[in-house]
Amino acid sequence: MAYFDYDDKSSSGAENERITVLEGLSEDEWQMIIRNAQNIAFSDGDILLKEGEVDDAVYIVVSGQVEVIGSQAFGRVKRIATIDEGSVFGEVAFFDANPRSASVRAIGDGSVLRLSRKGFEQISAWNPNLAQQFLFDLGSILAFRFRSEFPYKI
Amino acid sequence: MENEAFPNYTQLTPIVPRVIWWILRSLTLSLTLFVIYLLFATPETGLVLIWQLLIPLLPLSFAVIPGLWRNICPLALLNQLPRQFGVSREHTLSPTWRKIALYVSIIAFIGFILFRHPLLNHSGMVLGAIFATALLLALIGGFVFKGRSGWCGTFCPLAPLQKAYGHAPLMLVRNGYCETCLGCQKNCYDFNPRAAFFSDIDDSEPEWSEQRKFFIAFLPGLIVAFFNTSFASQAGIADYLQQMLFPPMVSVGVFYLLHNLLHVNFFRLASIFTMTALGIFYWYGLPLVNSGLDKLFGFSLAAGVVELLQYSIPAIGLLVVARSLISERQYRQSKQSTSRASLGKGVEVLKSALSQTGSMASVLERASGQQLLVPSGQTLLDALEANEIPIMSGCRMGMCGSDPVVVIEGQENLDPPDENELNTLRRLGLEGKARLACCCRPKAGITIDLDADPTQFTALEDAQDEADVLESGKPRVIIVGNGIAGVSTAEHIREQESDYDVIMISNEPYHFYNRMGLESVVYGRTAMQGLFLIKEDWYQLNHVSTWLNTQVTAVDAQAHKISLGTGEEVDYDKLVLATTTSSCWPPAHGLLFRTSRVFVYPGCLPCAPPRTR
Repeated sequence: MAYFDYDDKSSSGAENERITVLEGLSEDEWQMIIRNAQNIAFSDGDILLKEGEVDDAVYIVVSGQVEVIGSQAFGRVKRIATIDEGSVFGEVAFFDANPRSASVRAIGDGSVLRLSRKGFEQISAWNPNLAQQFLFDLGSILAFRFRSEFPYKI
Repeated sequence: MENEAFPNYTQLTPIVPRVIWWILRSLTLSLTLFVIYLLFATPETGLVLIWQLLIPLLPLSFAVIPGLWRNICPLALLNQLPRQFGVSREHTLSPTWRKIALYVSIIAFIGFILFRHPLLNHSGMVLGAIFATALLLALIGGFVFKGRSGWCGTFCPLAPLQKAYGHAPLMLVRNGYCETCLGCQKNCYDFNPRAAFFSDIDDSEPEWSEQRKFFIAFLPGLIVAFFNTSFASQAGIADYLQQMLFPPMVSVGVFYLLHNLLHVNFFRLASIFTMTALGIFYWYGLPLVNSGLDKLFGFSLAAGVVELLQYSIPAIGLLVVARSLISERQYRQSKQSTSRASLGKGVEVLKSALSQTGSMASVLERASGQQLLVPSGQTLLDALEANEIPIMSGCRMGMCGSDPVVVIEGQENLDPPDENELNTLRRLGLEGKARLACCCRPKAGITIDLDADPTQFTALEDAQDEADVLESGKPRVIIVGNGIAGVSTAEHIREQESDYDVIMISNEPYHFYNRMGLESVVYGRTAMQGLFLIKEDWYQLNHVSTWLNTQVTAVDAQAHKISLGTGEEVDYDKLVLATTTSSCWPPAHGLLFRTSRVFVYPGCLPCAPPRTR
């Protein structure tokens, strides 16, 4: 969120807020991924990921919007972030297969592409170059997050 | 969203006409010049006027309506004059110098306070000179640097204090100088007064945020020290500095302790500390203001009024803290409101790739509530499995009948069953009631329910006991084996002939089940019940008697008799041997296969639990 949306790179929020991944994939390469993934339609309020559940898939919002919600005391939930069309989420569990740290709930209708690790292994068997690029790009999300969390630490 | 909670000045409507601002600005500049004149001419009056009347007005205005002073400050006016006349050189202040400027302004402010007791409180000339110098520096800053980066937001010693007291303005005033924003500063307070403080505290550069935290932590202690210290030159400078600097350091220590021990976040700590500082300032300051009024104008407020004012300042402080809490919540919400990794333009390629795969039929599985998109041409079974929705499967070609699915809505979006599927459905007694998932390719939306019971049979009418069968006198067919061959035989007999007795004999304890699924029983993923391919009713409905756990030991084809393991003999008219295959050990010798870790399963019996043979 840029509060200082003038052309000044040093203001908070004006630095790199977003990272673009997998932008250069061709349609054929996407076809390859789609064949090994699931396209899941959702409607408003659907829970796509459940906090604590073990699931090693990475998700891409094809259309629509979803929100990340964290549970609070007394069964209340709090929105942590919203995820827009074209965004990637769930990449951490894709790598470590640990339980999900938050739930993801649909806002309105839309669909997500879900690629499990098993699906990814299939892709890497058929098209190692694509798999490599895919992995690098997912890894770059983690690197990006790491850098923005710990900008000055070694 | 951020525009409502954190409007920048371009989004605020100007309320005060520009001309009014210019009148006010000229008034404050004139007043300042007059005060400087007084400081030189009649220092006694000038010092009282500045210290006991004018300066005490500022902190409260910073907290309540910080934009007011930022618009009418004489230093700002001089700073902005070169820009107004178009003679500013408009250099950019580099990021390094912005950080240095912040140090300079904080040190200048603290230094200014430290010099008050020894010098500034009673030397009108020095104070006047400092003010004049400040006016000159502001003018030079405006001449050299662009926007408000030459003084107001950078070097001005009052700027950190304004940002601190005005972190959650009770009233906003639009920046009246910047016609067009030049983006000259980092986290510009004049650009976005509500967000500037939070952005500073939250800044990822420690050199930017830590200085401010330190300044805010330092402030309450500095004010306490200032009002409780007097400078006696004979006591020595070291003593004075100790008295002046010890309370602020305690205050800094408390600030960080509260954060580290009680986990109070920095936004709240900073808000509480600045408002505490404000309260302390007026607690000590108001009586001095009162005596200043007396000295200047010969009248003073009643003690009760002063006391009331002393208490009302903390109340205003509480309002500011409350406003800050609201802003903090809004800041956190908007700050974290979007994900950070996206495909960019790639999402259009992805969408187009998805559309290439043909249209997607949406399938709602009602039992799990899961909705899935099935690419055209894909079978329902494949789609369910791809989405990890549990469903049994066998031959995957409509023969075994292990995957019946009740289609609740949208039957018309499926092709009608082909011959194989139809036969299997008939065998299962499910014609018109269910479809086989491996044979359905949805063309448009359908709703299925995997938990629904597809077999809603009518009550049995004349079910016969096994014993009756032997006495019925009808021609008798005995089928040995209840696998697919045996069951299919029974099925075909019943299709053509109802007047036979059909007896099916099996040495297994279960009715016809899906052998290909036995693996799931071995691994405990399903129970035997999950493998049955036809309902138990089917045998009764079709008048097929099944004798389970029954071993046929001999066949006497001459006498049309079979012998059972129990020693009984049973006559037949027709005999069908449909014994299913049995597995054997591969003919390899010794080492490789005959270990305790290798199993074969000829039937279900050894399956649970698996054991060696």
